[in-house]
Amino acid sequence: MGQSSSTSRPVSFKPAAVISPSVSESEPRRSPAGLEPDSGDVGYDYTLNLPDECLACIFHSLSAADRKRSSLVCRRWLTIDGQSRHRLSLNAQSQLASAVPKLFSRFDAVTKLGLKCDRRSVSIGDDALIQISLKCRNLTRLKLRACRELTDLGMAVLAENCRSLQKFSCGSCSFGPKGMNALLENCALLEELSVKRLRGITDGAAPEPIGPGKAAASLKVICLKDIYNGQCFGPLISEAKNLRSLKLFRCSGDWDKLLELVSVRIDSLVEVHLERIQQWPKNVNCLGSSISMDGKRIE
Amino acid sequence: MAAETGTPTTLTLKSNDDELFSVAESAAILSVTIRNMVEDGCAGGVIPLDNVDGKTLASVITYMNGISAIPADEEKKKSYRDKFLSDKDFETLADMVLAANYLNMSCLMDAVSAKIAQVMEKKSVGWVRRKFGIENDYTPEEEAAVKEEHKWTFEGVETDDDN
Repeated sequence: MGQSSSTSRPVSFKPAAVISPSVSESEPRRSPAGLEPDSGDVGYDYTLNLPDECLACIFHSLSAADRKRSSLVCRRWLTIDGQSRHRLSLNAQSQLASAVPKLFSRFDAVTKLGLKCDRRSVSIGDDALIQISLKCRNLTRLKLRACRELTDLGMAVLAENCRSLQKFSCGSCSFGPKGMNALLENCALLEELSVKRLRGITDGAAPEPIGPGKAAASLKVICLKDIYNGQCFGPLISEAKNLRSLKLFRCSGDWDKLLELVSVRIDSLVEVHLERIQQWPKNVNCLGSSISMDGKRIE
Repeated sequence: MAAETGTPTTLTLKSNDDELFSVAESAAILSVTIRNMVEDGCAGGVIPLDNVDGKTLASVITYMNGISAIPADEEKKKSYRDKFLSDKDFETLADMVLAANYLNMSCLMDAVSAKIAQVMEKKSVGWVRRKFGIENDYTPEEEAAVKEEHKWTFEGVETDDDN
């Protein structure tokens, strides 16, 4: 290997990432003994020649609480954390509305969002949801909890703005069949739908049918919990040809007809989970071996 | 991948404090930076790595040799990486992440990043600043504003099946 004993740099040499020249050209300002981090002195900045992507890589391995603290370290970390955050969970009380513009300018790459209100507080309304939907058009997952002030109108605008949704889950919300239908009609990539205690559906005596919409073709999982008149999801369930899993928990009423329909129409179904259904379907055998009730498999 | 001149498949790497290391080409090309040099025919002599000191380079080469000796078995590679990083202190990790980035070694980069994140777990902002040598460039008002925003975010781990 002794053909070149000089230390000349190979011409084509390129570092893997941009290195700040002011640092790379000079000796690190660090004594060989190493920095004593607890001395209170701020010494050599380890992250100075670390590109943003690498810091983002470290942030991705942090828990939400640790990320939060990290964003307070310095302005650069705040920016990188904001740009690299894909998953965000927010307290959806009504006052959130005023913080929405700033929050979503900072977290501009969010694709998975949770909006949760506690049961005793007033939740955000349609205006805030619409603002969020305009800022997060690439949302793939949305989870709503106890956002009781949201109506069909807000849901309809959300559905139009966020057509890339793949998972949608709502619990203790108050919008109704119109909002749900808007979602199913616009979100043709929807794979998982989970609905728990949807008040807007349970109120009326004869609820509007839900589905099928464009989402019927893409849905793989449908999960309904604590829903009266859950049979109004019939058009969706019976047209969901690629459905793999249907779960019904504590949903009252007669599911016989629908389950029979499902068994005939859906080939891909691998799991039917029924739990505490008021009225047991008489004809469970039609579903084959894929069915379980209260966690027990029916043979 | 040997050069036309029939160069032996051993490369010589030089750290920024002039230490020389011999390493099998097959292991060294885990670094995309080095692989590109080999492919461009620039790896015949001594390869100077101006951003890596001798101590760190020695560690990286140990890793290169160790991981390249493991056949394509992700489980085993992962457990090697875990073991390799288990006794490294923060300063070493910080040097390694810079080296891994400079050398463009994504598998080492990911593993070291995760390890650094582990070190940062549940640590105060001040601790992290001191440890990383970062100066606080926030004004008190800005810092307060960020904290205010944080009141809206939940810290809990998101699960998909909670009720």
